[in-house]
Order: sequence, then C-alpha cells, then structure tokens
Amino acid sequence: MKLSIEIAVDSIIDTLRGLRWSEYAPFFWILAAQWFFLAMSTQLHTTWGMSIVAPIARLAGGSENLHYPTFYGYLSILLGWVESFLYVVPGAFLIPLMLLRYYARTDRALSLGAGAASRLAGAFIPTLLAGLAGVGCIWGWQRFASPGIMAAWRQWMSEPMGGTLGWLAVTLGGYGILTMLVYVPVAAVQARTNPLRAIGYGIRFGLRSWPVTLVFSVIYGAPAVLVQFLLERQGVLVVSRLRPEFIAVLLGVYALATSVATYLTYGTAARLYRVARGEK
Amino acid sequence: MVRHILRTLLAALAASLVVGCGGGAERATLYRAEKLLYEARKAEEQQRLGTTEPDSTALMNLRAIFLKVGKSAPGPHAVTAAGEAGEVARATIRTVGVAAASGARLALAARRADLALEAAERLQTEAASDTVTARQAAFMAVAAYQGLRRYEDAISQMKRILVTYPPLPAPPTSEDPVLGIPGAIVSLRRNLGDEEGAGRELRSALEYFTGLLDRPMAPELEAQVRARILRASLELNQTDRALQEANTLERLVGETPELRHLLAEIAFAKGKLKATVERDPSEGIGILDRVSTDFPTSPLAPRSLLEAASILEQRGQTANARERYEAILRRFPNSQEVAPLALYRLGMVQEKMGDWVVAKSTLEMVPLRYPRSSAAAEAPMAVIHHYMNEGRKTAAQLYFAKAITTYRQLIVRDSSGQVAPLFRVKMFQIFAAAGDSTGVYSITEEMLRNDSRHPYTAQILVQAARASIGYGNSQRAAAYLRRFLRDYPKSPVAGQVKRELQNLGG
Repeated sequence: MKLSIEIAVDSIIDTLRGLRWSEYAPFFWILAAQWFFLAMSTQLHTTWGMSIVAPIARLAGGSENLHYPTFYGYLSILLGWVESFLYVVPGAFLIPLMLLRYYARTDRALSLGAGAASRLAGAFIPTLLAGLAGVGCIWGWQRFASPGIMAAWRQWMSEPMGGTLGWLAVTLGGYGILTMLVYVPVAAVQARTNPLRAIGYGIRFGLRSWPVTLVFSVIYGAPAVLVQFLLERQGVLVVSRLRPEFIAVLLGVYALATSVATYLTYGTAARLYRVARGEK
Repeated sequence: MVRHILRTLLAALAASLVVGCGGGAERATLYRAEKLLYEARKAEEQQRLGTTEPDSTALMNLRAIFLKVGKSAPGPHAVTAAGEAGEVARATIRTVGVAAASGARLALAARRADLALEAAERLQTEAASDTVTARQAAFMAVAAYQGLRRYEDAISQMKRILVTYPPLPAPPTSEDPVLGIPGAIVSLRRNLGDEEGAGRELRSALEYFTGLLDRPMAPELEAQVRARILRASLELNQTDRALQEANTLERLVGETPELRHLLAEIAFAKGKLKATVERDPSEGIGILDRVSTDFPTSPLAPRSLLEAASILEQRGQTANARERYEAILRRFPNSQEVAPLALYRLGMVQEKMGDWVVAKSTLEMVPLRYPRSSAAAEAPMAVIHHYMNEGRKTAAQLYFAKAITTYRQLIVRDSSGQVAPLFRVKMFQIFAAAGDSTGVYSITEEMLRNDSRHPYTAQILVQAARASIGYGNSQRAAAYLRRFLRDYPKSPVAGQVKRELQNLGG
C-alpha cells in the first residue's frame, strides 16, 4: 500500500490513544536505569556514589571531570553515553520486546511462548547493529558536520538567533539519521525473516517513509528537544546561578521525555510498517 | 545466545566497577570538600551582595562555613603516593588550603588575626608535603602577623618564604608573589618609619634578586627578576648598575615578544636615569612623559609623571612640576600609590609659587580625598609648618585644633589601618608643641592600646617620657621608660633608655 499523510496521521492518533503500560514497560526499565545513574551522580560525595559513577566516567574518558561543580557541566555528555549504551545494548532486547508486545494486540500468539522468544532472539543482532550504526553516525555528525553547520548559521544570522538555529539544525540532523534506522527493529520482529533481510527491509522502509517518520519523531521528541536546548545552551547559567544539582533534575526530565518519545516513535513506526504492508 | 551476550556484558560492567572502586573513598572526600568550598563561596557571595557590609559576626559565621571544608577532609593525605591516588590527595589538600586561606582572610577582616595565624600554622604543618599549599599557608601567616601588628615576625616569615620557596615562572602578564616579597619588606619598614631599615632591606633585596640569576631560569622569569633588580638599583641610586640592567632587559624583551609589557619598565628606568644623571634633564623628562602616554594602563604611567614632576621640582622648575602633578590628578585620580602624594606635592608647589590660599585648600583636600594615605598625615602638618616658617605662631596654634580634629576623623574612619599610627604620632607632635600634657598622655595611652609593639610607639614612649619630665611628672616618665624596655628590649636605644631610667631613680 502506498504511504499517505492520512495513514501516518491515523497511526499517530492510534498510538496516542492506545498507550499501554505493558508495552511501555521495556522503555521504563531503560528510564529507570538512567534515573538511577542520575541519582548516583548527585551522590558523588559518598564513597558508593563515586564508586558507581567514577568507573563509568572513566570508561567514557571523562574522569578529569569528577570535580564539583564542573561535573554537572559534563553530566549531560556522560548521560548521553549512558543513554546510548542503554538504548543500544539492553535496547537490542527491550525495543523488540516492546514491538512484540505491541503486535500482540492483534496477534495473541505472540504474547506467549516460543514464537515470541525466537523472534526476540532473532531481532537482537539487527537491532544491536542498527543501534551501533545510529550512535556511530550521530557521533560522526556531531563531530564533523556540526561545527560547519553552526559556523554557517552564525554567518547567515547574528547571535543569538544564528547559534540557536544552528543548534536546531544539528539536532534535527540527528533525528534525520536515527529515523532512517527506526524500522530495522520493526522489520526484525516480523515473522519469517532473518537478520540480513531485517536490516535491508528496515533501511529500505526507513528511506521510503523518511519524511513522515521524521515529522512524527520530531513531534514526539519536541519536549525532549526543549529540555536539551535549555541544558546545552543555558547549562552554564544553571550551574552558576542556580544549584548545580538542578542539572540532574533537568536531565531526569529529559530522560523521561526521550523515553516516552521513543516509545511513541516505535509504536507509530510499528503500526505504519504493518499498514504500509497492507496488514491490519 | 542472548543470555550469553547479556552475561558477558554484565561481567564486563561488574569488572569495570570493581576496577573503578579503587580510590573511590578518596575521590568522594575530594568531591565533598569541593562541594563545601563551593557552597561556602556562594554563601560569601550572597552575604557580600547584601545591602550592608557584613559585620564581624557575619564574617565569623562565613568563616565557620569555610572551616567545614577542612573538617570534611581530615588528613593525613597520601600526597607522595604515585599516580591518581597522589593527584587526588594533592587536589584535596589544595582545596582544604584554599578554604583555610578564605577562612583566614575572613578572620582578618573580622579583626581576629589570632585565628588567622592559628589556621596558617596548622595548615603549614598539615600541608608540609604539598609545596603549593604550604607556600599559601606561609603567605597567610604573613598577613596574620601584620594583622596582629607583629611586624618583626611578619618580616621574619617573609624572609623564610624567600629562603624556602624559589620564585616560579608565571604567565608573562603576571608574576609569582614571591618576587614581590622583598619589595613588601621594604615598604613595611618604610611604613614603620624605619627608613634606615628600609635601605638595608633594599640592599638585601638587590642581593637576593642577583642571587636568583645564578640558577638557570625561563626567559620570562629572568626578565621579571631583572626588572626587580632594575627597580632596586634605581631606588639605591646605583645608576651604572641600573643602566646595565635596563640594557640587558631591553635585549631580553627584544628576543621574547611576550615580554613587551616590560617596555614600560625599561623606558621608565632610562628616563629616570637620564633625567637625574644628565645636566639637562629635558630628554629624560620627555621619556618619562611618554611612558604615561604610551603605556597608559601600566602602573608605571602615573609613577613616571610623579618622577618627572619630582625631578623638575628639585631643579626649581615648579610650573612644569605643577603641570605634571595636575596631570596625575586628572588622569590617574584613583592611583592610591601616586595620586595622594601628587596632591600633597601640588599643594607644596603652589605654596612655593606664592599662591598660599590655593595651596592651603589643596593641602586640606588631601585628607578628604585620600584618607588612608600617609600624605593625609603630612598635609595638616605642612599647613602648620607654613605658619611657623612665616613666624605666624598664633595662626599655627589656632590651626592645631583643626589638625587634631582632622586626625581624629581619619582615625575614626579606619582605627586599625596601616596609617593610623602615623596619624597618632602627628597628634602627639601637635600636643607636645602646644605643651598640652593631657593630650600627650592620652595619645600615648591610645598608642599603647592600639599600636602596641609598633616602632612608632617606641619613639612616642621615649618622647612622652621626656615630655613628662618637662611637665614635672617623673613617675609617669619612669613608667613609660619601663614599658619601653619591656616591649622593645632589643631596640638599639635600649641602653640609653636604661640610663635615663636610672637617672630618674627607677
């Protein structure tokens, strides 16, 4: 079936109407892990808090930031790494689990037993690879493309508008990259598929539906983008004028907004994928 | 397969956690100390942003917040440990040191120099293994000794710093505070009225800086040391040496573009040398004038104008001198080092030019505009001297009351300030000149109370004893002399004072 605006809008409305805790739960575990990490980040003055966060910071190559209050300026970067890890590695299991629970609404057999387990196992590698590719591309985008884009916007427009629009362009670029890979886990949990086919189908569908997917993922992600904007553009102000710990609270809100947005994005993508293939 | 991957990942995470646990307690201690220091600084910032200046109770409360940092990170810290453990220990002890220094600063501001000294001594012992902190503690002790008016101890402590801590290279536009110590000793001696001692210390300073050049050092540091040598030799009127140093420094600056800020120093020295040595000072004066226009942000800009004015005044070119004093007051009115003296000298030049009415009003402006300067102490006396020189004794005596009121107001403004003892000395001189025994006794008692062990108090005790004999009060004279011998047993005039006391039958 050809993709149309009506199908996309119906998918969004259905997803928003049909929010279910059991489907969201896999993302909640990722969110819980992020919140736990953030809570530990506010306890670095205790031996146990430091013993949990310091090794992670060291793995992320930022142990020199374990000082007060500079740590809170670095925390969003560190949480970015933790978030990437959680969405890529445990996410390779949890994202397909969410999708299978979603499809179980119409396919009762999927909610139980061996069929679900084998699809979950089969989806792990494609989802992991898509996740790693996504993180790699985002890293490359931010590392190499972002400075040029920011400079170009700053040349076109004076500050603060130039910087703000440049930042928005870089953020939207990141969304653009991720939306191309959203359908890999969706394709991977379908029946009668294999990892290679799932990756191929997923990317092909991602490219085909890219504009629509970008629109709904940006709509869902808007609250997270807003919090991210506040953190990245006004982070120093928050650290210096308010309590530095407030950064951790804002990051907690950001993690919640991202978690819900990711759930809604996958929910809509799953529905769109099935409808586009002519299934109910 | 999934289970296997998950198990491997969990094992890797657990292993990294275990590896990372090493030093967690020490890192947490450092973090805790940094957090408390940050909160203490915030509290101080809040307090200072308030509408009123924090009083001594508020300052002591703030000090207590800073002291929590040290309590949160009790030693000993393994500063000598290798690798990260040593780095964390050093960072911890430095954080504690910064907090202790802030605590000492607040204690000094709250007039509790004893607490500042106690903190400095404790930190010196605790941080002996970390040079940076131990050095900071040594500087704290200097400030505390000065706060306690234990000036000889302050000078000894500064000399200990010079022996213990060699100066370190600093960014080109700043310099290691150790380099400023010899000059601080000279200034302190001068403030104590000990010009002979200041001259001695200046010669020691020159010796110290020259000694530093024996060891190899970075060009930036060498230039800074040579600049100090240049200043000291100029002050000691060692013109050949100063010229030689100016040329060496010029060569160094030519080779290192980062040292261009020292050009002002070189130009100042060359201008001063030319103006003082050559028969016609105009070329030197021209160079000094250019320093003030070519380097307007340099501290040497007002100084070069003052130097030029002073040389011109000595050579009788009072109109040219007046022009430069006025230029200082117009362009650098906030230069606390130069502007008060310029205003005072302007008054004196106006007097020389025969414009007494203007001169008197200029001199009377000095205590009003620069109440914490030694020029403020000299200005009222200059008015009295003018009347005396003109033989107008009654006018001079009438002015005594006004001068006393001026000094009293200056003391009320800053009773423990560095110049307050000088104001009291001037009051003593006026009371003595007026034959006012009550005034002489009361100001002597005030000095004993406020400026105990100050060299000015030593002079006043001897003079008050002699004045008391004149007033027929030998008992009081003996008491002053006994107090002198108790407080200044090592004074060079102690023998003479003993003899005077024996003559009084003490």
